[in-house]
Amino acid sequence: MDRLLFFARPYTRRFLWGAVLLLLTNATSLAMPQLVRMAIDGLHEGTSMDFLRDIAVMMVALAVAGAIFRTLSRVHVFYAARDVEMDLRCTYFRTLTRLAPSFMAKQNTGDLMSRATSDLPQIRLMLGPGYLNLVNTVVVFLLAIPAMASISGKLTAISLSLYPLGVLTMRYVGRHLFLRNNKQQKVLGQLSSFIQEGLGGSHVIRAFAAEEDQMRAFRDLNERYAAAGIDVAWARSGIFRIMATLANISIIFVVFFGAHQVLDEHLTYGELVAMVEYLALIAAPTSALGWVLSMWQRSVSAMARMDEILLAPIEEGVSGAIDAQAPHIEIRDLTLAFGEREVLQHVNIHVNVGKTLGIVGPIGSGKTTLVRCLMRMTDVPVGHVFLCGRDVAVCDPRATRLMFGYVPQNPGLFSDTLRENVRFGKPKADDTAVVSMLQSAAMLRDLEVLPHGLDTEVGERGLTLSGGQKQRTAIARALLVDPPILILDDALSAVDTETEAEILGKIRSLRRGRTTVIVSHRLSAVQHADEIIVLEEGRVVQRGTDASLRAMEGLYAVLAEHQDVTREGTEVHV
Amino acid sequence: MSDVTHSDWHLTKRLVGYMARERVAFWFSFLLYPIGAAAVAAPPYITQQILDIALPARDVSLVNILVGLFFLALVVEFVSGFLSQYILTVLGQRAMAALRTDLFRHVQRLPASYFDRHPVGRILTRLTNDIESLAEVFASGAITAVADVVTVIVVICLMLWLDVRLTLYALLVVPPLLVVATWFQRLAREAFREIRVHIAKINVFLAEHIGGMGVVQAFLQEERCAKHFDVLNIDYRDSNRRAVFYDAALFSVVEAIGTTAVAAMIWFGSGKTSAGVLQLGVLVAFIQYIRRCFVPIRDLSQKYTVLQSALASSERIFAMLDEPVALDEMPNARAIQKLHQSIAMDHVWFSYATPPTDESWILKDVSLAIGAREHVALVGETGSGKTTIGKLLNRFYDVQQGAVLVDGIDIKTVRLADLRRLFAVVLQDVYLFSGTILENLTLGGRISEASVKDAAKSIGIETWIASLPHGYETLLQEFGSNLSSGERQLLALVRALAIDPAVLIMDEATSNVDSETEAMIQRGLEVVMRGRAALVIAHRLSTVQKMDRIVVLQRGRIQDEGSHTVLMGRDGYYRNLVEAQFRDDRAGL
Repeated sequence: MDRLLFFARPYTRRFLWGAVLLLLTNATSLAMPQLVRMAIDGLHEGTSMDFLRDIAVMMVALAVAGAIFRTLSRVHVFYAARDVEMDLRCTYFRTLTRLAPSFMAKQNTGDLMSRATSDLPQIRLMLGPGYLNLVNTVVVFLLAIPAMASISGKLTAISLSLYPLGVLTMRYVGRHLFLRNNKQQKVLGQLSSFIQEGLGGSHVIRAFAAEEDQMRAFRDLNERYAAAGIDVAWARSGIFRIMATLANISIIFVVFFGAHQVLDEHLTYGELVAMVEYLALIAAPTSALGWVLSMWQRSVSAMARMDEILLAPIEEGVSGAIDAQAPHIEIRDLTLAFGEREVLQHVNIHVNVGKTLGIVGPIGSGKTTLVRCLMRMTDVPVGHVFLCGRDVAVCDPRATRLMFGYVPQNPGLFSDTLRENVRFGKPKADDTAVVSMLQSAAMLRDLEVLPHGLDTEVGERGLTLSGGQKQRTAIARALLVDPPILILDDALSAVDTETEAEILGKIRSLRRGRTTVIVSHRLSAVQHADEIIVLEEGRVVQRGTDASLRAMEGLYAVLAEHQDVTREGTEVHV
Repeated sequence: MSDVTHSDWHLTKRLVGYMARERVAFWFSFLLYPIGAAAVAAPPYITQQILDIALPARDVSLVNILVGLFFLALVVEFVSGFLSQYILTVLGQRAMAALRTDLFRHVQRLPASYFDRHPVGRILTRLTNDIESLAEVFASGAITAVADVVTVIVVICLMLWLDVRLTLYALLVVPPLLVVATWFQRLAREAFREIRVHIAKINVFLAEHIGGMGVVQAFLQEERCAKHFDVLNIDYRDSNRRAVFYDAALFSVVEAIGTTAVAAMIWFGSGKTSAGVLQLGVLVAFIQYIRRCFVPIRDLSQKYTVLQSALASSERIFAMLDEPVALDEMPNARAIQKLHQSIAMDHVWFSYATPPTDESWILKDVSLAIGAREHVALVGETGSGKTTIGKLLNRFYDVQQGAVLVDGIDIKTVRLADLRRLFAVVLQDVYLFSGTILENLTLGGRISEASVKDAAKSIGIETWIASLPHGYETLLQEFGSNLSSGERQLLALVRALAIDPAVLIMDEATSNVDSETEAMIQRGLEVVMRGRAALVIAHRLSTVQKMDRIVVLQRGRIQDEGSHTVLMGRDGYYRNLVEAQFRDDRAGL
């Protein structure tokens, strides 16, 4: 509630104007029954034509004014609601970009999506049509009841006597509607993620000719969703019909008792007709109340879901530039645990400016975590990781990342052109620079084959490119920002060793005198490194150069021997 | 209303076709319309009788009878309204479900190239948001527009019966009403089309950037991406604003026109009344009739807006349904059970581009046959077309020239499911579904649990699976990101063995694998290949040496083929590759 108001506050003026205009709109429409009454009573008593003409003209004038007020009130309220929705969506994405990577890692993409696509519209519906109907109902009652009472207090009391009952019924059905709606939303969520996965993995499904099984599972979910939809429709139509019927019954009351009063000459013809007209006017807003009620409940839970993200801890750190001139890296006795599992234990590293560090080790030995610590893509404890002598844990994470060029294991391309993907980190780079980086990443030959060269759309997550092309594009992207420190996190796994050697050679000459960290399974990728560390179960078990490590007994020598055996003839680098 | 184009009719017909699948219920709901309309039209007439006959005659019992009839009309309205809405809702939900099923089935049969061109996010929008906006037609009651039309007709008939002249005065406002409504609707429709385009862009952007947030942060592009997202949102808001305005204006103008009609009657009609010709009750009845006419007409335009957006959605849904299934089966495609002799490519030319250009050919005149028990290695540089060959054999794409043959039969004439059942494919990048390991291995139950577990034993990873937190029931995170690519390949090998295919196609992982896992994959590959045909896109000499034949591919052409020994004996590309590798290795040491 507070949070909804918080986001609505910038548009207070619009919302208030909307309310004022609604008041004016209703004032014009509630004047109508009075005019009709005057006309009928006038006719009954045999009045002049001029009087009737005046009434007709007044009605038209009021109708025109009413139309203008009505349009403006809706425009004000609905614009405001759309603005709040937009602000929320933009804030949501901004928050996502600033969330701590460790928090992001725990989130499910589909779930983060549905907050923006399903929850957000609920909030907008409450602030738009919900607010409009609520204000409208209040205004109509405030204006109509005194007007009715001025005609006949007794008839007013009789006609409204059923309304409390209606409100109670509505609350009951409203709660049902709420529960059924929730269920429908849940099934919709399941259905969407099923479809999303089915589409993403469609090549697997095809390759195994498993379409029919897939269809069966789909049909099952689909039918459950349809059934949930029917349940919701029951409750929804219940709410509207109950109120509409109630309004009609109150009209019967008035016609019945009113007619008798006319017979007894306590009431005029015109007054009876005006009463009926008023009841007709308040019927519609009353039946909308049930809807507002369910909308309100939905928007509150939607806002709560949005807040799970909006109020999540964002990255913090003291701002301040890091001296880019002398980027040396130091890790002192770093131990890092995820839950109970220690992924890094007592790691010490020192890399001087311009040197290359190689990191090797089996799967799960903590290689990626280690480089993520450097870039503060993982939260690190104070006093262990230093960049240019400054503690990464307290630095502004963005200032830290500014020092790095990063090629992740998973290339992470976006559906845009090849050009935009390469210059992702440096949007102003010209084509010459882009092409030259693609050349360094051994992508030039591929570029010639691509249908539209740099303008080729790479597809969602780069899906039109081969695995190797994706990785090489990611390398070009990192090289283009010309970072003080370059990190290759197993970035050459999908290219053959020949190409790997070519790329590494180019990187060496391009980055003479600059710092590079190479993570790899393949020893050939780190053989030229100034220092190589061998990680095993989060511990540095060996360190040295390729030559010294080969001479030493230990994991490196074992890995080397194995790779050499395969290499004996292996690596026909194909 | 009047602004119904030919294509709208066509779309509506298709939609109604989905609704009318349950004929009896569909037509029964139509029967209810006139009953409901009569019940809606009765009360003003009853009011007129009370005012003009019962009250002047001071007939209390007639007043009571008439009020009783009034009540009866309400009951009939309630029951018929409820029934018809219920039937329509059920039919509507069933129709949506059927449409979604058809669409999903169709999407599964679309050519792989369709997925290259269309992001998953956009396809998802069709299957969810677009169909939802069709469902909104039922949820919002817009579908009762048909009932409204019947009501309006009945009301006008009653008005004519009561007083022809007064009716004509009241109906004077209908032509301007139609003009205004049509005009606004045309504008609103364009706005809705734009809205859909913008929301789809927002969804694609979100999905991709949430997935790639690590990259956004690593490259410090948070602000630029957020600004880009702001622009998408502003576009979306602006197109919504236009729709809101047209919508609000239409609603208000219709309301005002209704009041004008009442005013017109009071003025024009009153002359007759004061002369005593028109009964007072008739005028009152007319005022009520006008409301009963204009509320549906006003709602009609509101409902029409919903219908507009639904039509815009259905246009896109049907466009996708009509997307040609390029790889469609021939009407009398042949059934095949097994592979008897060979699978072969006969002078195949292939390009991903349509139409192919001279530079875009990925495969050029490739002929290659693999015997039913033969193991063939494909070697060649990155981009030489190795992976493409794998995709053509099981008909993920159709070749442009030449043919792919199974036992001499062109695969285009074979049943697609039969063809694909011949193959098991293990890609470099194995796609795993969220769910448990077992669900992934059995493909959700298509392969029996027993055969999967046997296969895991043969491949030798049952101990590894048992060591996982919940064994076979361990949940994989989305996209299987908590498994290494080597482990994923092992799982894919298990799956491949369990389905017992005639042909194994494997794209060997390069070196993204630690040596222990690599050794396991090597052993697994041998197990799976035994007794069947295999085409392995090889990256290791140890793999290549095991194969019966090696095919060297260079820039889309077969450059050489033969056994390892034979190829080493020739002064060709293959020997150069191997020798160059030795030199590099020594230099590296």
